[in-house]
Amino acid sequence: MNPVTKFLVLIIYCILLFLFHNIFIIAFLCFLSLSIFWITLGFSEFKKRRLILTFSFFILVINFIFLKGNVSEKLEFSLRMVFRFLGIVFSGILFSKNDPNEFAYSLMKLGVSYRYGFTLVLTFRLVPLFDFESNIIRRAQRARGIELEGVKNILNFARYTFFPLLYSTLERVDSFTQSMEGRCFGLYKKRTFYREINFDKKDYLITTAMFIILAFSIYWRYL
Amino acid sequence: MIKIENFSFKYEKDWVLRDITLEIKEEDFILVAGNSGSGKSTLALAVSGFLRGKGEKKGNIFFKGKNVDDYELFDLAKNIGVVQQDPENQICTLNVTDELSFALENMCLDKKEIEKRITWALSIVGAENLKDRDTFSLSGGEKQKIAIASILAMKPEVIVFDEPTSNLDPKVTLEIFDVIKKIRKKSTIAVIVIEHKWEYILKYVNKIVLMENGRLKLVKTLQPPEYKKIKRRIGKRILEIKNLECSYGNKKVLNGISLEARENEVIGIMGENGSGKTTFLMCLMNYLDYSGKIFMNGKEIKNKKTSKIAEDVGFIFQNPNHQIFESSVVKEAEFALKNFKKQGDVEYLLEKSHLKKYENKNPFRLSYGEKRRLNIVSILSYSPKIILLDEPFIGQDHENVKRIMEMVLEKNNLILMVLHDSKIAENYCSRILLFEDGKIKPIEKWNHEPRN
Repeated sequence: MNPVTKFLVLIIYCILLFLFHNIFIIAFLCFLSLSIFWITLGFSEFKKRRLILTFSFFILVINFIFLKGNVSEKLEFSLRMVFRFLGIVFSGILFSKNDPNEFAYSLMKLGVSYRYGFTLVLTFRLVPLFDFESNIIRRAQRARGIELEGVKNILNFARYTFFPLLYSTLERVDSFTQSMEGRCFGLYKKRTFYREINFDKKDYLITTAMFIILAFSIYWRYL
Repeated sequence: MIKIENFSFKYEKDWVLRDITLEIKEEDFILVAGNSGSGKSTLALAVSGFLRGKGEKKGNIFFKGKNVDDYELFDLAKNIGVVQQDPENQICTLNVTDELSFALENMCLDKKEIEKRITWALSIVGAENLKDRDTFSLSGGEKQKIAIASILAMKPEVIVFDEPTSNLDPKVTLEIFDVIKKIRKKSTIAVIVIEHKWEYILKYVNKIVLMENGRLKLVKTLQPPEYKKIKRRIGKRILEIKNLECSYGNKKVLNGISLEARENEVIGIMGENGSGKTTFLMCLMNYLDYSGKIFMNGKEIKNKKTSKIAEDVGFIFQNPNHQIFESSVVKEAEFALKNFKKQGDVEYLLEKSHLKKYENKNPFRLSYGEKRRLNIVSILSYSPKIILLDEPFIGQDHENVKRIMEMVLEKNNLILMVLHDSKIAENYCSRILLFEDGKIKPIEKWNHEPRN
């Protein structure tokens, strides 16, 4: 399936989660997402996300304690919240397992200007570097005698992390610009693509189906 | 093909290039040597047309009879490719094939032609096996090969290599220079190499250009740098490591390191990238979880905070930008000193490092070499007993290496430094630890010279 199709499925799925109020439908949608997750990624991936499951249990308990109303109302409200939370989180993780690169290239194939497309690619390229660098900078702070912990240090944290990070990112962006211009980026209005990405029959079918489901759901819910 | 005629250039006040005249012909293989700040990289930018609209110029640079500034940048780029110092900053996609086809797609070539060129470029750099890999999973050397191949695939007429091996260990450096020699041999592309580590290719080039203070000189050969040996008296034991092990996930990066080190020793840590050198230094600062024991001055460090350990241990990271925190040079120099509430002579250190004149300047605006010296000042200010340097000499010229070593060796301390340059190691280190697969390998014979 084309990553853009997957993205569309994700968006419509999330809309549906919030469109319906009926707890059974929400539970069904959540169950759907969890089972697809289980089938495609396996149980071990589930185990890695224990924290999310624990967290959702806390949402349930805390909601239940602090809400007003009778028991069944409270329970229904809390459960709705938990199902929506789990549905979004797990479908999101599922989507993020895609090659983000492929997603960007698909968008360009579908007609999004390649300048925007490559902004996206470059973002995907920079995010891990950002993470890596801020880690080093934090270590360097400790090596110079600053241990930034606790709320009171938030200001210092921003000051001593932000500027080194900003500076090295600016330098990087400068190099990237030179590297891209040096390889004829922006030469023509259009460019060719070597990578094969197809938007085939299956994708059209799924896209259409998703829109029909959405339209039908809106009709059912509101009209 | 390229003619530089009485070309001068300045960004602001000082001329960076002064009255340069040089002709670059097809089939030329040119080495450009010179200290940092001598104008080497600016020359590369000038030739490849990246100085347009910047600074002030005198004189002309012609490519095939037409001034480079009169070309569309892309037209010039197609013909004059530049390989930058750090491939991490050049590779802008997430996948090797995407990276290699990037330029070709921009040039609107069709699929068949792209396929042909990618195959050709990969065969020249010897990286056919990397074709389907993600770029983030590549090693430093592999990344540089891909960066080179992506330029090569454009089939330019000249390729400028701007210090292409500064981040690489000696083994991989050799591989990259082999690739460059092969490009010269197997194509009609002229090659210009800007390099500190010129001893690897001196024999193969047909022109040697020496840059000094913005001026260009054609020379017959180059003199190897000379370092002054500094003798120090070995003192008492201050570091003891017993059976140190450290893992990332399932991978054991350090596998049983034991070591005793004394005051005034200078210990060089060498070995291929990925052999555990940096991880070893990181453990000494308690940045990572490890098993085994580390004693500094007889006390175990396991439960100490890094900022506490740092009072006795100065740590220099690879990239100078990651360890500058203040808004002026003098504030930066005092930064660690003040954090530790200690006494020290910052004035003297700034003088010694030739940074006094920049006292009130923003440290981020210093040159790469100056930033490195400022880092060194920042840790020397509070006279730590142990100094850990993680590849401090990347991108540094010989003069700066000498200055840095003179500074760190002035006081009594123990120095452990990760480095790749065997010449520096030979001159300054009292002993060498050779890392291999997370272990210290005994050295039988000292032999790291470039092969011929």
